[in-house]
Amino acid sequence: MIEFLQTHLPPLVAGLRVTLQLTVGGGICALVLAALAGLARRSSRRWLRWPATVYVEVFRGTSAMVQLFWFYFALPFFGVSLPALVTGVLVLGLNSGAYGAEVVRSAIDHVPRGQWEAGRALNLSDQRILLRIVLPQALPMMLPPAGNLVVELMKNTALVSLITLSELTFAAQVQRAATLETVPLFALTLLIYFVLAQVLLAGVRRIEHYVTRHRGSRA
Amino acid sequence: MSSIAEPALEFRNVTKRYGETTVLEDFDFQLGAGEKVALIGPSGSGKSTVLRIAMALEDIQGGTVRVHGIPLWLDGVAADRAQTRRARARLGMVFQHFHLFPHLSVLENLTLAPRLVNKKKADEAAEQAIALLRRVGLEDKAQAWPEQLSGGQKQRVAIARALALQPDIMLFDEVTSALDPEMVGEVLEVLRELGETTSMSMLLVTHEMAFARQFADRVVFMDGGKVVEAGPPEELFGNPREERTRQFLSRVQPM
Repeated sequence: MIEFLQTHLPPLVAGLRVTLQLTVGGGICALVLAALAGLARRSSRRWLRWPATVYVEVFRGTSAMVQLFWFYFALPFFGVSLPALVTGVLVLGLNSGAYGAEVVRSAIDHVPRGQWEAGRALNLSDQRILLRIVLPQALPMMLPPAGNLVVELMKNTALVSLITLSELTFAAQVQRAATLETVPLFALTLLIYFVLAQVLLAGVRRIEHYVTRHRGSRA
Repeated sequence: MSSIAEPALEFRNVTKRYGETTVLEDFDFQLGAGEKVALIGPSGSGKSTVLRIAMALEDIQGGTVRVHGIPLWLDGVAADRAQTRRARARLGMVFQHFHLFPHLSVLENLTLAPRLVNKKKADEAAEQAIALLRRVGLEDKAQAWPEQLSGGQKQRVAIARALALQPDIMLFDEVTSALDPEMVGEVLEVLRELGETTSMSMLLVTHEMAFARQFADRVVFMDGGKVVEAGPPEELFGNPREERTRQFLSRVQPM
């Protein structure tokens, strides 16, 4: 057992590092895109709404793997060559950002219209109503689905092994090929993903707890 | 621009449609400065729409709307944003369903707009908010969350919140309709006190006929998007001229 871990853990941990980089980088990228595209899709200005809609539908409606191949193998033909890690972060971010945009939009839409009207009746500008009244109420609604998306993003990092990055799954494959200890190796790999998912979900729950602290009175 | 004779609210030839449905048609109405008017009528008669148009929460399809002389709509053309906000600054509105901000404490509900819109300092806004809460009998609830309040208390907070911007005109949109019967009285009591102690103009959409009779200088009966009959409460309730008014009154206040 100890010998098994001594042999396999270091390369897997090296892979985990890449998985974490992709998860964090892709997550930040997704967060920014989700916020921008989610707000843009609700805009009354068509020139904002349109590109956001195209972005969301294209990235939701096509395979993440093919998107990855496009960015890594096809874009160089148009003179754009990106390093594998950057490509991975970008594609994972774009992909989760498209789903995230829908989470943002739907949460904002679920804040009752009366909140906007009360804000306008108090002569607040629409930007201020959004910032001070609507978003604080929408944020708690966004978090549970956002938690799912973050875990989904983390699991999707395995796809990036297809463009030469040796993240966790790739590292496991390499070890398996070298030692043929298939069952324990993949069991360990699953366990690492599982623990990582639990850590991410616990993080999201903490944020959830923080943004709903004003409801501490709620029994 | 403003003179004593200038009405607080002026609606001229206002037409409002939702798709195929016409809610107001060639609607004319004036609220005098300092006047207290109760708008009554069957549901769907367009009463609430009148208030919502005055607060620029609704578009209209034709006509002119002025708030203390400031045009919100001129012959069907909307004012720009700056002018709309200038008109809104004269108005306060209380809604049937309160619409308190659930993520803010009672005190913050009252101070948010004065701080952001009127650039009041935090302590100054809080001081004024406490005074308003005292006025509606809820100073002990300043630190409470809206969800901890009863319906009647929520509505009193909503009234105080609207007053915090010191409007000249108050719009009350069926403010007791969502309340349990035992809480109607406490809210009407606040309205009565406001009516007696301030010179604000007030426009009240209500189903509380007894209260309208007591409170209003003038009662306006609407049906089908038009004013059918208007007059002093004693006259309109005691001796209605129009058949439709009589029918409505006999339905809502069976003798």
